[in-house]
Amino acid sequence: MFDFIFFVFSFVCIGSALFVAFTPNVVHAALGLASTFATLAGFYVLLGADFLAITQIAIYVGGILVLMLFGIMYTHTIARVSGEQVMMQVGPALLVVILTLFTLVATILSTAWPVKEVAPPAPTADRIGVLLMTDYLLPFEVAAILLLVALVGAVVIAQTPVRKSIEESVD
Amino acid sequence: MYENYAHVLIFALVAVGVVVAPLILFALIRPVRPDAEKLSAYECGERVVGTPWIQFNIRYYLVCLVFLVFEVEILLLFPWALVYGAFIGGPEQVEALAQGAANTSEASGGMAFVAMFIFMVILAVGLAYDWGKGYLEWETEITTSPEIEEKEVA
Repeated sequence: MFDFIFFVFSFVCIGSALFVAFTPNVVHAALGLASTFATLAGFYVLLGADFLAITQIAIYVGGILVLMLFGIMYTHTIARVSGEQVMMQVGPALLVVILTLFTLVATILSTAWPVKEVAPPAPTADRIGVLLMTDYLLPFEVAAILLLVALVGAVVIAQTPVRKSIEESVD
Repeated sequence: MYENYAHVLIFALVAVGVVVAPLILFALIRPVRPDAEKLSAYECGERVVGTPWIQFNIRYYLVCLVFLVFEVEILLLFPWALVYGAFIGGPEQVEALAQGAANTSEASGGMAFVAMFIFMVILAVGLAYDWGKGYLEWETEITTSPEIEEKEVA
């Protein structure tokens, strides 16, 4: 049953990723990306990482994707996107793809992949909570500093182009 | 744990099915005779003006950036909120949750409270900075300018 669910998730995930790569419509691509992100959350659940799955849904589907959609909506020429995709760096891209494929296949073939029956994993959120408050207290507070930097930095950097764009739209 | 997520999966499948099943069903049984009038977007009987691909108000972007940071903060609040009761109860209750994964000898409700208080204060500084610098201001006198509205329609 788990194998079946895993393959359904894989099929949807890879299918949506291909759709993102090949559709000429950027808004459709963003929706395909939502599907990819959501099925990745399914993989996390299958691996027993329930908190990570919720995080994936909340941050990637609920936050980052909305940010990307906003980015698309702000594009001036969104209504005049041409239907073709031009490949510019065919040679270098091919080289990178072949090298990546070789690395992946070599790793897959050379790894033993031991399969073991394990008990269904317990919910992880409370253990994460205890670890954040004890062993990882300092990284937890450092994460707050990181978020502070993001909060101030992102807004300060985005502020200038946003103001410029507002002034242009008024002129 | 998997049983709980089976419920989530069923809900997700029903949600997708409710949308997809009628689309497929009606595509199979409806006659297809399109004309320009039928293919136009239906907007409650009003004639559609302009394109739906207008440029959104770019001020949303700053709000979205701030939202993303606070969403991460809320997600870090959840595990803390789950175990805060145990921390008030004392190290034994925390140990029962941690199952030997963490050093819980110094766990106490006051410590958990102070730790999260510091976390919140650090982020409040960021919010205060953005607010005080006026980055969260909406500048309504510009938004309500009729020129923009005309441009969006055109």
